[in-house]
Amino acid sequence: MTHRRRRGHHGAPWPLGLPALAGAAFLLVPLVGLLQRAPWSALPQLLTDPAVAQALRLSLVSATAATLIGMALGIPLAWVLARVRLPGVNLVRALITLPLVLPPVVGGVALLMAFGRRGLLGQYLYEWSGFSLPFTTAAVVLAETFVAMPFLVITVEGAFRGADRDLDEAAATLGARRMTVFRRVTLPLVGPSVVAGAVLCWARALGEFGATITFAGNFPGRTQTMPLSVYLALESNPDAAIALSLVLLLVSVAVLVAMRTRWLRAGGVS
Amino acid sequence: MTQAGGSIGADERPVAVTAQGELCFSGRAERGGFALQVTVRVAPGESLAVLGPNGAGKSTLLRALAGLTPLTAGHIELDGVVLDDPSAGVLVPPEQRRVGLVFQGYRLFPHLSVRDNVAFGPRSAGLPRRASRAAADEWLARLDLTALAARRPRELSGGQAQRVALARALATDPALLLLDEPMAALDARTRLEVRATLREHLRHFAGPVVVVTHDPLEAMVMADRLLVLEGGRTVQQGRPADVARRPATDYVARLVGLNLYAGTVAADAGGEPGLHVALSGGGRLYAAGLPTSGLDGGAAVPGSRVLVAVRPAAVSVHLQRPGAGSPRNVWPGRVAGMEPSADRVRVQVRGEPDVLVDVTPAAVAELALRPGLDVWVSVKATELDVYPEP
Repeated sequence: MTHRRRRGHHGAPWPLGLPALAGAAFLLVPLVGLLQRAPWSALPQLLTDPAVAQALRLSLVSATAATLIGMALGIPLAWVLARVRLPGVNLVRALITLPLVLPPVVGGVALLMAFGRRGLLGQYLYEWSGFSLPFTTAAVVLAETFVAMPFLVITVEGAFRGADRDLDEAAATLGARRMTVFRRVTLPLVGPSVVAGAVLCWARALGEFGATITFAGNFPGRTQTMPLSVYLALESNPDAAIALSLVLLLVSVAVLVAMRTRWLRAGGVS
Repeated sequence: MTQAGGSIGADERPVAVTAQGELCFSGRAERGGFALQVTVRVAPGESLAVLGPNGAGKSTLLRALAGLTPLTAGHIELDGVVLDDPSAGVLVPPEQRRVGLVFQGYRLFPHLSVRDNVAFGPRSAGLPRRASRAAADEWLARLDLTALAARRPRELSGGQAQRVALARALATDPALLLLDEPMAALDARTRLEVRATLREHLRHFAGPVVVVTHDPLEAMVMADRLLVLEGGRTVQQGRPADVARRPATDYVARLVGLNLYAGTVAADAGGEPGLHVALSGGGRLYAAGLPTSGLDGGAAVPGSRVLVAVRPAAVSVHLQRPGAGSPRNVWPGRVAGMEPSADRVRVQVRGEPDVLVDVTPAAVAELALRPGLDVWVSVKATELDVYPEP
């Protein structure tokens, strides 16, 4: 009796409990599979391969560059979306979040059409400087920025929207010009959200595959990032693919842990 | 008592007429369908309390002075400088006005220490970090906050936060100081302490001070002059003592705890040398001769509209109709309610007219006063203050 009553209080009815269990298992089993198949003994050797180091370095550098560009452009964009009341702002907000749901390959094709040698803007760039953007490291950064920046923008925009406008007014009465108010009051107050948005943006950029391979191609040392080399290694050297995957998994877990403990709880991310 | 000015049109464009350091506000400000229209001047060193019920336009007045809500007509001038004048296309933004504002709820920056909160103004004015912190330290010392300099606002008590907000506003060296409900966020006990120190600090401020409040005591204690707003208009303006003695509206009368009746001077004084007032709400009151009533000859003409103020303590309550006696005003009523306060009981009596009567708790016991009891009330004619309706 007691046993049954306790189950009734703490458990879930089976129509909910069983699918929940299946769902959790479905999400976790592949990760277990990855860990179980990991060539632990060969790992040091696989990971010190110069090609792996090259891909890892390229990934870290390009994801970081994409995040910095994302912050430089995305924070002001988020502020404008949150604070400027002009007709069309809502439409812009809807459009800039499109990359969130757009298949990345489509993003890559779109980038080619815009920045390719004969693209909307790319043709002028090529005429003017003889520089063609696609299939360069810069193209990797661009592709990652395109896909990842919206994560930062929507996170920070929500924070700007929720930030206390009263404090901006107080700063103005104390003689602060609008840029000073932004720099010394608004931005510091949304700091945790900026960090959270930047981490999300960085993690998304690090894992970018579709837009990168479409717009930047797959050249080792130049445009071949970690996800690309994982995909290629899977055909030639599955152990290497698993090793590379483990590295990306580790980075993701680190990001998740950092977000949970430091920023998601304390910050204003909703 | 000054009434609000009429509509302010473009043809009445102001010329610089303010004295040195003086504040002149004469305009209209609109905020969310509500319009405030007042005219007021505040001399340097003078403090004006703006009193009024919620939604009277008190905060809108402060926001217009600070530049947070632009005027739609009229002008604001401070120390000879026009800050806002829509007809002339002049609008000085908040950050360029020499106006210090202590917000309701204080609005301290939560991410900055007390010192950096106070240093924010000097720093925004272009002082280097070190110099602005030094300036802040000076104000912190003056307001007895030095020990709290390193704290964050969330670590402060209400009274401390209020002083920090005051220090922060004063550190910008304002030519005009505005305080929005400075006591509202404090509990009753802190309020007493803070009121004394605040008054002391305001006394040292050289420019005009405008304090918004809905607490009449606060207004009386802190201000040299009162401005009472209702529905966006001035209903009364004057020295606290005058406003307290001769309220112009029911709202003010309630605030200062007086019985107030509107009425007209009756033609027939019954052959006596006093003044009969027929009250608009029913009933008649007899006031003593003109010298006490304070009416000039013209206003005492039969038919002119007057207000009659009576202190509740000047009214007596009786179980039977009082016999021969000096009070000239005697009427029956019924006790409608009783409310104890400090050392007396305020009794509401329904009659013609209704009246509030202050009696001692001993009198309540002796007369066995209770709601529903039929009583008689009396007031001496000399206790009535009759003055023209503004």
